[in-house]
Amino acid sequence: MPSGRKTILVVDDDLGMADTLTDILQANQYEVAIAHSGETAVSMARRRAYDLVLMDIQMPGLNGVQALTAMKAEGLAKRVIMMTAHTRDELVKEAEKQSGFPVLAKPLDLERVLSLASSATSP
Amino acid sequence: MQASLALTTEASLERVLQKITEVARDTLRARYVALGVIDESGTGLGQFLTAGTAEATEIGPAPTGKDVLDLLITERRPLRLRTRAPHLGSFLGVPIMVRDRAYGSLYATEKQEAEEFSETDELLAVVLASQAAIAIENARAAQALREAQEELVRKEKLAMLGQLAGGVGHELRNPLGVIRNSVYYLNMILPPDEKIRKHLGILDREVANSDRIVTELLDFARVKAPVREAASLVSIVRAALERLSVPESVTVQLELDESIPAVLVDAQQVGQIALNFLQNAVQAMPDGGRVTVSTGADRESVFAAVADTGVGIPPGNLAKIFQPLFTTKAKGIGLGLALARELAEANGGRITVESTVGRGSRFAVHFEKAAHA
Repeated sequence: MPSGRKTILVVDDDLGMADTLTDILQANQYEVAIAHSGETAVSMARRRAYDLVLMDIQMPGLNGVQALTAMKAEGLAKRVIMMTAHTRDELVKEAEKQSGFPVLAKPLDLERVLSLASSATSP
Repeated sequence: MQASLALTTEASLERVLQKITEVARDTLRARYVALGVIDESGTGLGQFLTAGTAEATEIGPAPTGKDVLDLLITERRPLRLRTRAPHLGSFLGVPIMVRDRAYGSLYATEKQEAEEFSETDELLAVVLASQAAIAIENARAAQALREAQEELVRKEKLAMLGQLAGGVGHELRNPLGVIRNSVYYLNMILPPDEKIRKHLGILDREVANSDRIVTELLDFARVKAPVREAASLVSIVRAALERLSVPESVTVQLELDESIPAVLVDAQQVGQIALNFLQNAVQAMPDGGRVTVSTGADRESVFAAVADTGVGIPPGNLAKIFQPLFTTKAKGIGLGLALARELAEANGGRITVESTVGRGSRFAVHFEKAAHA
């Protein structure tokens, strides 16, 4: 990380969501990488340690909770914040338990995302 | 009499009972035969059929199901008399019964060509009355079946609509989220031009409005099993009032009886019902008016009510307002009251409505008093 910036991995199968989140985070001085599936997210996390993973829950293939479980099993993810459009899904409780953060509801409250990102990436 | 075994409608029941009444008059050789059926609530006369003398002209108005009819039903046995009363003379009455359930009575007066009704007449009357009883029982069973079927269809429709609403709602949250993200980004990077800010503000507000509609859809899609605990309708109503945005032209009047007993409900769900009533009340008064919020209790139940001085609901629409997707509002998808009714029923309550066009409406939700609260 030559820039010294904090790194965030954004994981969402919705391209527009990943794209716009990336622009916002970059404009707030984060270095951002994108994965469009849980599988890609896990393999990217193996190659590089991110300060924060911001991950959607409902994705085809490996869903967010499964990806989170896989990352934790390999000791890859320090801090993961999950987000969802399905706030009442059973997976939400599981996601909160595993990540230790409240799950963020879409449409996202971006002030809250940035403040959580800031505190999650602080040492 | 075969018809009595296969009945489906109230109209065909009426025909069968009329036939039985006429057959009774012929076979019993009575001047006058009447057949009275107690209504299902047991409080009055449901049907009253006669053969022979026009009862209105010769024996006065139709009976109320009390007096003679009442006696036959409470005593539950045939009654054979010889009286001196005018237009009565000889009398034969039998209860209409199946097993130990009494549905009404059949009686004949003024035996022709004899002083009184015979034992054979009594037996005949008992047989005819039992035919009537079976007909009534079948008709009521058929009615109950029809109602159960209609309820099932309604529930199925609601379930399908719920699935659709849930699917659409969730799918919309992602694109709405993307729009909100873009607006946020543009707000960060664009120069602080007034027009640009205004339009970004509009976009953001409309995303929030759309999200509210989605939330309404999702609320409807999944009425969760209520978590019922002893709760105060007064507190629930007060909390709902806090969430209501009241235009300046609308005044809110509180008539809250703080002493009402607790009810066993899911406070969050009942709060949703109250908020729905309140929002409807405000929307019914586009030119302003008064919302009266009240709580109270009667012998068995406790209620919370919201009355407005708004446009009112035409009688033809009153039956439809609880149907999903029925709306008369320019804005709105028509799920509010459908959801309110679902929530009320899930909590063991019911909703009542009174309305006069041009004067306003009053919606109330009633719950049984909590037994141990």
